[in-house]
Amino acid sequence: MYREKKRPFWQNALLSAAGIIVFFAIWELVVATGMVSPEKLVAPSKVIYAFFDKFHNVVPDGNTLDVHIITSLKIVLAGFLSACIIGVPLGLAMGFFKTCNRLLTPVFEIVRPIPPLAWIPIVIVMLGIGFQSKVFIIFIAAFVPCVINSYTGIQATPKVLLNVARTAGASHFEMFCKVGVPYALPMVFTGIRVSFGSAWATLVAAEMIASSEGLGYMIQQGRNASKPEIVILGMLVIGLIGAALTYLLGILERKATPWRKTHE
Amino acid sequence: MALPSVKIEISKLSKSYETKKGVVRVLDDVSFSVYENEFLVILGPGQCGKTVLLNTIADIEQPDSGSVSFNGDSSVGFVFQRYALFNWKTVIKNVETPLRYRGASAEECTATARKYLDLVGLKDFESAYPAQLSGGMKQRVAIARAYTSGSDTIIMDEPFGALDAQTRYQMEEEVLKLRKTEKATVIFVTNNIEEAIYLGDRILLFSDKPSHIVNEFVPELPRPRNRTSPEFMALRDEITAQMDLSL
Ligand SMILES: Nc1ncnc2c1ncn2[C@@H]1O[C@H](COP(=O)(O)OP(=O)(O)O)[C@@H](O)[C@H]1O
Ligand SMILES: [Mg+2]
Repeated sequence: MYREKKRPFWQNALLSAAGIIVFFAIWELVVATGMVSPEKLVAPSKVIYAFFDKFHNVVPDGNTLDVHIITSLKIVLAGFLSACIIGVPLGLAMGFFKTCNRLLTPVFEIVRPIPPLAWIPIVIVMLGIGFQSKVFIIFIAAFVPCVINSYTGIQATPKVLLNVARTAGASHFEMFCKVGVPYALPMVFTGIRVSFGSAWATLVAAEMIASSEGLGYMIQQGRNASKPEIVILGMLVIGLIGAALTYLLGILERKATPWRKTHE
Repeated sequence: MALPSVKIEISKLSKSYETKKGVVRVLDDVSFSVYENEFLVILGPGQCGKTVLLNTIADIEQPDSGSVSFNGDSSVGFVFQRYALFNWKTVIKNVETPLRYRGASAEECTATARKYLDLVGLKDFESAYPAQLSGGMKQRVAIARAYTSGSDTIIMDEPFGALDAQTRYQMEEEVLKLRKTEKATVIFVTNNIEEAIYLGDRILLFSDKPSHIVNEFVPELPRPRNRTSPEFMALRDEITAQMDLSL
């Protein structure tokens, strides 16, 4: 069987860095050679300049980049964390206890297909146009994958494992806590990662609700002021932070499920 | 010689399941006794209801009619058909499980678990995860866990069915070794005639569904039993013939 040679860490890091550099180089070339006119696509060098500039320049949106980042992070983390705190236990309980399943699954199935953005009008009426309503939109986006993955994860618990616990004298609730939940944990983490993805991806939409700061707001203002470098800067920062936080979640996941590394 | 005392009395057990193809009768009026400290083998063809019977004895499933009554402690140590290990727990934590549920102290759990891990030859693997073990080793862990429960009754459901022949022979020796040191009533289920004769003090032969007892055999063979002795092979042929008839 053919197997790729295992590279040392620094070589892998270098390879990844090369991928990013080549991507930007091609982009720069495409603009510099005039293949795409600079009016239609801004050169990455201008975006990189805008990146450093934006830490003290408040034009066109009235705030520096760090303010936008912190505002957006607060909204997303508040929505995402509350979705995890409510969604994971709910999904686990629905998947394990038949009464919870009967009671809650129909409601959930109706709420589930409603796109997060469809909530905006009613959320504005009920919660106003402040922090809370944006958090709520993020919450809806993040909540669904948390519930679904926890639910399917715990439902897949092999009966024989529950029987092991039962013959060992466990109560039904102990079977839930000590067999069902740990069995579902890898799936729960997948759900959390997916859920973070949709939370972060819904940010720009949530900030369509009257904002005065935040990355989504910065993008809209860049567009209104015809500053494409600000638009693309906003997009790239969203991408970068999203990737970094997903990476951190991956580390947390490996720490929380140490038995899984043994499969490799 | 004193009459052996009964540990478990199984009387008139019947059980049916409703399936898409209609009602399937699995256990058909099954009655037998299990004696204190005997090694009872239940032998029957695949799908005949052996697992259903064991689950009923262990109170995991309820019969439609009939009863199971224990003399004294009714808890059981159970070795399930497939390696039913908690893959998120290390070997020693797996083995400790039954004691934990019974509220034993952490020290007692660890000490007892170590004792049985040592007995099944897995002392050096206590902090491994199940995914790192071979099939035979996993089943050793499951056996150690069953004994750690401290129950008077150990039930094993085709514990070696998924193992290769050589590992299977090794495991059979392990089970007999444990039997010498640990006082317990053992109910051992298999569909392998040789295994039944090699291990059993007494063998109950079950028919195909709806399952009932066809015959009882008490191999009068000295231990360790010799699989190639004429007596062994004669008994094997006799049981084979009756098993084929019942199908
Ligand atoms: N929960 C169930 N629902 C429907 N049928 C079942 C169920 N459990 C067992 N059966 C039926 O009982 C029969 C015997 O099963 P089992 O006890 O697992 O056989 P084995 O002797 O191989 O252990 C099977 O043919 C199966 O169809
Ligand atoms: Mg079976």
